[in-house]
Amino acid sequence: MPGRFDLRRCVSWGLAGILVGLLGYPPIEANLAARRAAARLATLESNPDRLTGDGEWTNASLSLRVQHLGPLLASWETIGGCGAGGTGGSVGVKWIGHNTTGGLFHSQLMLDYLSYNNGYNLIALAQIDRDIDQKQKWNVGVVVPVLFKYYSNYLQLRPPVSISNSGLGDINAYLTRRLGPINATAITASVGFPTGTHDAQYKLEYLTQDKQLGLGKFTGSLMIDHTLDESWGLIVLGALGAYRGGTNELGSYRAPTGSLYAYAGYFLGPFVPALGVTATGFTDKDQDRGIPQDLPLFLMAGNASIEWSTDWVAVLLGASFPFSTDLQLQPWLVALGVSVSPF
Amino acid sequence: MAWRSARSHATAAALFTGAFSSGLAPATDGDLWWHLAAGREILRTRSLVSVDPFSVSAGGRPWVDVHWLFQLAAYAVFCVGGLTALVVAKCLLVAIGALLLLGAVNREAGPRAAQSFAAVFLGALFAARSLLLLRPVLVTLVLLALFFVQLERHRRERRWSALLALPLLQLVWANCQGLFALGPALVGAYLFGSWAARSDTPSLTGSPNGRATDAHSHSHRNEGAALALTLFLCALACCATPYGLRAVLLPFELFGRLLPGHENVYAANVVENAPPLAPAMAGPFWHLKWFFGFLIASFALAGRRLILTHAILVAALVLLAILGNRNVLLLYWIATPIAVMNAWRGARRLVAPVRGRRVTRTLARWAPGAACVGLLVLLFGTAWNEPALASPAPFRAPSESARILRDRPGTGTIFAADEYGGYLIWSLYPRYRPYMDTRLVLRTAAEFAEYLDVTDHPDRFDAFQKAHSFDYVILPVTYPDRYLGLIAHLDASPQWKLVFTDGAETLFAKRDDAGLDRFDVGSRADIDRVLGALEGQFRGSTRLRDAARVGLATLEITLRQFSEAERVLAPVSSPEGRALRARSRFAAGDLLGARGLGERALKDDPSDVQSLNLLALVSLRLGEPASALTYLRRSLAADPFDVEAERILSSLEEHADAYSE
Repeated sequence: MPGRFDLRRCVSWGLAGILVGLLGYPPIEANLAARRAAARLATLESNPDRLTGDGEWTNASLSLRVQHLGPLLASWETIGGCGAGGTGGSVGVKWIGHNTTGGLFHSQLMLDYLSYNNGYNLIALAQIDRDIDQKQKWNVGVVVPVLFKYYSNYLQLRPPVSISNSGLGDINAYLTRRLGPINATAITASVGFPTGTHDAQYKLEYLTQDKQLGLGKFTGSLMIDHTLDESWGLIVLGALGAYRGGTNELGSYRAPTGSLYAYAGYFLGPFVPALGVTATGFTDKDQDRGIPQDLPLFLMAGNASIEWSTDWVAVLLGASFPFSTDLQLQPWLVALGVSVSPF
Repeated sequence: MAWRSARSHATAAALFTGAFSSGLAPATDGDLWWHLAAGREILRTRSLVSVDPFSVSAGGRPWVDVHWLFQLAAYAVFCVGGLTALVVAKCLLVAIGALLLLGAVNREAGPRAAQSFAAVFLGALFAARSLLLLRPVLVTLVLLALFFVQLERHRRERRWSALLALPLLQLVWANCQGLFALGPALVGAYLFGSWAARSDTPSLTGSPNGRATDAHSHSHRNEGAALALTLFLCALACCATPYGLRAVLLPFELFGRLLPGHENVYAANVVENAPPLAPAMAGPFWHLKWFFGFLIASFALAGRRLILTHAILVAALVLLAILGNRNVLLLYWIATPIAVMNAWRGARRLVAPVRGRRVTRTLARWAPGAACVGLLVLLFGTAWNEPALASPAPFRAPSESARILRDRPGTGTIFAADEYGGYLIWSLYPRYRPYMDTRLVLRTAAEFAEYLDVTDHPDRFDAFQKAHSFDYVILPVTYPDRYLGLIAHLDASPQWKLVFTDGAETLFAKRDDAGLDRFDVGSRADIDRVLGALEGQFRGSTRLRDAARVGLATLEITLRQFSEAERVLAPVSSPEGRALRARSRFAAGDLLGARGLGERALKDDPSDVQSLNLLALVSLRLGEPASALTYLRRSLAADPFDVEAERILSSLEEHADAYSE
């Protein structure tokens, strides 16, 4: 049976989870800041002779602000008011922009809406990674996809039947090695684990291969990226080769692919609008239980995105429109991503 | 039945009274004054304001004054009853909005849920009362409530008629405040919710037969069409202002100024734009974490009974609130009824096993009422302790400086703190014009950054003065204290003289201005005169009197009049007074005196960061680095984000590095 998806419950718990994250952020941040300060003090304490003298050298002055801002203030004591006061898969949107860096780890959530003639896919990709050395040469990460696939008028039955299939997709783990003095080149090897169901059924019939959440096989990919950092923006050139699992026990087959892509992003204050193009080729047609599927072997996609970022959070809105060689629009995608580098 | 009706009336009365009293405070915000001035100008000229007539830095520039309707209404109320009438009108608007929301909760979840809503909402209003300012946001609150009520009615009853008034209300909204974009956003959220609910049919959620009924689909289609039409009409109404498309773009421009980041000069420097979760905001926004906790519980309880539109609204309002603290009020205003509805749906299921028990019955009957009574007492008590409503809040408006200039002949320009700009416009236009005010939408980011630069680097003021030839400078002392450096610079300048202060505001005039005498902050007679006036002004409120003395002493220390500062602080026994006295001793070079006071303060509060910082610096000056590091460690453990402690630590690190090299 296709997985049961309860949108309301997901949204409820999702929102509650986001709020828990917001609630937990300040104390964790305070704890880490206290640790950092303690480490700095320990360094100073280890060499007290370097702080000799009468302290006249210190340029730290004392503020004359002695008021405490607390919960029970009268109107005239409050702050506020105006005024200056004190204080990837093969189809997808690539994150082009400043993104976020420097935190304890980097997390990214990408929500994709993939449109089909007879339905749509909602894909939530949660990615967490961190650099494992000081020079940020090595990076490891994991991507956890949650999918919701919806198709109306399935198999043209009478009366029409809509189906949905949802749940965990294939989890990917990856390792990135960055090269060059400014880490401009990155090679990423990734392995996909067969965690998504590949044998969901409707009325004892297997759903077609594209409606499954996975293939039931390990997958792998190798990607190389090179970033040209210009004063006005950045250009990203890259290539991706992917082994998408081959043939599974049901006889369904996913062909290997290769992609070339180029993106250019323009720095506009905190915004980075970007345009890009991706060319993707398949070595063969995908098959559903031995039957070749009517899919193009070559796709050319135009991509557009805009990123807004601060030091600790970045948001990206993008879209990708792939065309086959006969200029037919293929399933297109819009994506909303949020990236955070906390602590 | 009669009992139920009486209870409903009591709930409504308690909410109305509590919401009304939550706004009972004198005007603190500087925006009010330029709104009143604009209303007066519109009436005087019998035409809308399309270019800025009021300020030096934006004079003659196009001004998209979407607030004109609010300004006219506010000015009319002011003419009838002054500031008191304005505050009463504000309280009425808040109370009416609260009643509207109560009605929505009552219809959706019943009278018991409404009683719970009243308690939670009064708590939220009490917590966020500092954001209930005399501003066009009051109109937004009422219109938000009206939109919410009507859209909820349409969602529940699927009646077109519920939506008919919204485009008309939108027309009013678009001519009152830049937040009018919330109207179409609200309708859009209900439209999206309707669409999502249609998609979320049994077939999608995996029903056995995978079919949706025709009637159900038809009803959803109609609902969507009505909402789409309303959205279109509301969007059209947004364009129906005297400023056309420029007004439509205004909300987006204002939103851009909220986005946090160091490069965004508005977000980094305007207090109300600071994210409430930032460490510096933890004190004033202590309540946000509790509200988030309440929201979390409500969503967890709602589960699959959640209404998607509500989820979208709460998510959007949470986003707005964490971007800028001014939006916390909007979050509390709309998310509270939603959260109570959610929690009530889930709680009924949760308490079902114990519903019949006596304890549960008693709790359900009396707990919300008791909470309401407690909150009412708190709200009344707070309102009772506020100063008189007929005058601006103490220390917030440069009323005496404005009076002095008003009584003088002539015209001129004034460099003043931006929050003073509005009051100076109201009091002195057209004879005097301030350089800056809080209508930052009239200034570019570069201009605002330049103004801040001059404020923060007083040595650059002289060149700025050469370019602009200001006649007067008016600056606040402690609310905020950002201008202390500039005050010290002007007092030492051969071109300027301090001619008036009461410890809250300072008025500087040119040295060669013979008509105004210099105020001597070192003169006992001058200070005694000020103290006498303060005693008279704040008789009956020790808290205000102490705050006034702390302000005056802060000015004395800034201008290095330490003995006068000590004298001013002598009767002040508050922790603030003691802390300032210790800092005065330190600045005067009396290190042992400062240490004594600091240690005494630590006995009362061992984690008092200000005293720990002071003692760290005293230890350094006395050549005791180990002791300094110990104090600093305690300070940073108590508040790892304390700016002063961080500055001392960085200074130590720089010295240590220099020593190593």
